[in-house]
Amino acid sequence: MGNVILALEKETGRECFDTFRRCLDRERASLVEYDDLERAFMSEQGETVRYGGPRDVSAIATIWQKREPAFRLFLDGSRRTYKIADIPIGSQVFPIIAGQVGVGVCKRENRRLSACDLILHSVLAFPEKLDTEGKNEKQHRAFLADLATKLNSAQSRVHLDALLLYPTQAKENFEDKGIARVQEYMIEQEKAMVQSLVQKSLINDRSWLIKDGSLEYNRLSDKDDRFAFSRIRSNYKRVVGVSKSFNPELAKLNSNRTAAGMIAKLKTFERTPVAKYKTDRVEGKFAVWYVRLRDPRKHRGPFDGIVKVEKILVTDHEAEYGLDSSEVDNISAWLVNERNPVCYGKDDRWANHLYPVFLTETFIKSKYRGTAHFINLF
Amino acid sequence: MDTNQHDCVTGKIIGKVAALEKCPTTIDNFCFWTNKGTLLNPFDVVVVEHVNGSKTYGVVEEISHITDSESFLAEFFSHDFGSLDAESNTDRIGMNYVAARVVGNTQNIYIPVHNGAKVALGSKEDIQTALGLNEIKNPVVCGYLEMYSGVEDAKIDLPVYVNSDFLVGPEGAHLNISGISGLATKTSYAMFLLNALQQKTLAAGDAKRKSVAYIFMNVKGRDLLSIDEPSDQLNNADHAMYASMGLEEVPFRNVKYFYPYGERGTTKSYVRLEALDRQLKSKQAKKFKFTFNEDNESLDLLFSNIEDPNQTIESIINYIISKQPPFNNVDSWEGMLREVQSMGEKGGGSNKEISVMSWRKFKRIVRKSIETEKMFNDTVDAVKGEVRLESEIKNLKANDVFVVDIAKQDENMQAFVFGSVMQAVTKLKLGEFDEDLAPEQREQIPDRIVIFVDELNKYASSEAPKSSPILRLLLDIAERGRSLGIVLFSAEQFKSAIHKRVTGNCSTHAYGRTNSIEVADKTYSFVPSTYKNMMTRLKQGHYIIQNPIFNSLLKIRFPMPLYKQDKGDN
Repeated sequence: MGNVILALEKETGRECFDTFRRCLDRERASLVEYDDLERAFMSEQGETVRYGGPRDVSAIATIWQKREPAFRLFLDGSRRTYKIADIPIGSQVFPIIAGQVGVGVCKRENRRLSACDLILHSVLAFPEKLDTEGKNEKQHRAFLADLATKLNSAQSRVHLDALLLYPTQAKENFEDKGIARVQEYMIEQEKAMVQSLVQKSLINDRSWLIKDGSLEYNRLSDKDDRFAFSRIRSNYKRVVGVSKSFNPELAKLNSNRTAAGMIAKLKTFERTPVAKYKTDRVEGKFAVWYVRLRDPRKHRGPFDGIVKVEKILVTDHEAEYGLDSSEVDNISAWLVNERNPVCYGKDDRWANHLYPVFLTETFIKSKYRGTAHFINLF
Repeated sequence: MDTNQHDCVTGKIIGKVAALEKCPTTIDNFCFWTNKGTLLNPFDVVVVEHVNGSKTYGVVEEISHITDSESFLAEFFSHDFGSLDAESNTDRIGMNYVAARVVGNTQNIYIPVHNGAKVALGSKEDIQTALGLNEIKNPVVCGYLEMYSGVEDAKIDLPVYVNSDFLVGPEGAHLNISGISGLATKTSYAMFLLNALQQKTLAAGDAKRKSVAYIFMNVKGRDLLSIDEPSDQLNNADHAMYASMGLEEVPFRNVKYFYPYGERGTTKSYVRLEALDRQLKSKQAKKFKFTFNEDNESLDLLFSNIEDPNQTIESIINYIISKQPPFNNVDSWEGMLREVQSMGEKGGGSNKEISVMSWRKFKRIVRKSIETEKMFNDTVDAVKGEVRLESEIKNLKANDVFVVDIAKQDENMQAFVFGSVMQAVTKLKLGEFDEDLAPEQREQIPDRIVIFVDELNKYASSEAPKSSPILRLLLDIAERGRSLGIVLFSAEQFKSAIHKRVTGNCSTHAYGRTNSIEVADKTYSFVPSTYKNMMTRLKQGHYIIQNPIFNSLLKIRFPMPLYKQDKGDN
């Protein structure tokens, strides 16, 4: 029984170059991770009531403290990528990127967090040019499905859950392209997970979900895709995206004026007014606002302790008039109540982290195979 | 997990083994994680699935609770930077991890247990196999074990038996009980064990079984002066415990009490008059005396705690015992004192080897004891219930219980009487009395004689003079007693203060409640720290016992004794 690379060489007739196999993820996450989307703000008002400035939700948070918290599900996706070989196509040499993709959900019952669901996939990303015959997405998919079957049957060391193709026409770094493709796959799995939770009725009025990071899913080129925004939009009625890091300069309120100052000046347990926006790259309309979870004096910078909150505007009414302000207050209050405990010492981003999300992240990472083990499976 | 591992564990699964880079499983130890709500206790037995379908048994030694909190600071931060009112929606992730010691494997496989192996509570049979309590020969009950008392619907109670061959010989002998006064109930535990032993030997009726007799030294108050009277203090739990252990609720049988002879025919004892009357009427009570002619060889015992670096005292005693002039004509204590007096006088018949000063020193010490203690008396009237202890010990028979009361005597006299008893027992077992005994009496000498003494620290202290005759006797019994058939059941407050050669020769050790200074001594270095701490918290009636046949230290409890405990003021 051979390995994946030998099987690939046999199937494609191309002899791969031996390469120094290594993990491509930076060993340490950047201390500050910013989103970089240019947004077109449609309106400064993303909620039903117009508030001129920050709004204190501490009183609402105190009321909610006595009740069962609404956030019961916590979703996080992560991936690890590795370079395992180089493959010559024509006069060019392209990297083959392997990835471990994990999407996990934890549920909270009686203050205790436990694992709810987990997707853990091993994937390989090849250059698009590997499929010399394929002319469209459908043909590419058929090619990859056939190749996956052959690679899996040719060896038993690793089961490949998906094969991916990364674009090769741009002049960007191919490794980055491969990583980006694995990242896209992870997002698809996140969407699939949300869909599965909705189908199982685990997400409902009394059981909301916090997704780690943004809900701004890139626009899909294939409109028939099962994850097309129009199809999955309704799944996100009880889902809130919470980002630990954001670029405050890109948060604009009115007349292209940056909201960074207002965000930085937020007092503890205050939220900004909600803005409504859409972007070209992302489908749908979003409501976005910022909440300060912790005292600003006790952190490194002015934005520590502040999280960015996103919610997809699901109904036409919401898309038109914004979110109900009381709902925004409640969501903000629920988030304020999630501020403790903290993962201080475990994660540098502790001031912006929500503990259940941190645990979900830890849970997924605990399931990954070690780097030395994984890269030698191929 | 190995493919050849089978689901051999049938009990309630409570966790899984965790073998870490920094904390691997070993031949001797392993750790497993468990839910923080699982109420395990130290000493609980756990069963782990292992290779080839075997089961490895472990005993819980340490239980720790951990969370993912990196530091105390993280905890402070998690309460809104030190707010006492701060609440959270989520509990920190936390679990208990349990350190256990391997005590056995069903197939004698001792490679370390594997990561992820299931850990379960054991059945009664599992517990017995794990602790070495199954297939015990010559069983004598030594307590009652409670397992999994914290786990709902899983509590297991079982009596613990010890092989009497390892308690009173020939395989192992001597028991040492330690613990602080009052809370440790040392005398009660010794009496519980001895009662069980007597019941066992009385019930056996087996000619092949070794016969056992008992001599108890009563060193405090009226502790052991009513051991043939039934107790009226047993509660329902005690009754249930005795029933499950298969013991009859009867006090000691064949008991005789020996009191020191006091002034004008009385006894020097704390015994209550009504009890003494009863014992005298039933001929159970005797008053013991020491006569010069027959007991002068025990004179050295009066000097147990006196340093004798030049061995002058020893020389004098030898001089007197060997009946050198003028002691060749002495036949009474009074006569001896008179001659000692004359030897101490200037030029008064003293020989050149022993100085006058030494005779004077000897006189000072011996006079105080012999003149004040009425038990040094040269007339023994059997009609008045007067006896010599040595003569009585000569006639000791199987299942006899002799209680020698020395509670009211001073420390020197206590040592003298205890030493005399040990000397007599040793002589009996060495056959030195054989010439005095008829053939049928020789036949009746018990195979084993158990001597129980409390306050062992008075006689076998690690700081006792090396020349101390009592220490010499005790060391002899501790080291040779097992083969001679002399068994020492001893008790003291602090084991660390006892001569190492005495405790080291004990096959069975019982640890009652003690204090933290004591457990810090190197005597307890083999005891895991959790158990040490438990020793300082043990309740009355709870003991940690150690015996060669048990695979681990056992925490047991025992019921109230079956005899009347007279704890009243003296």
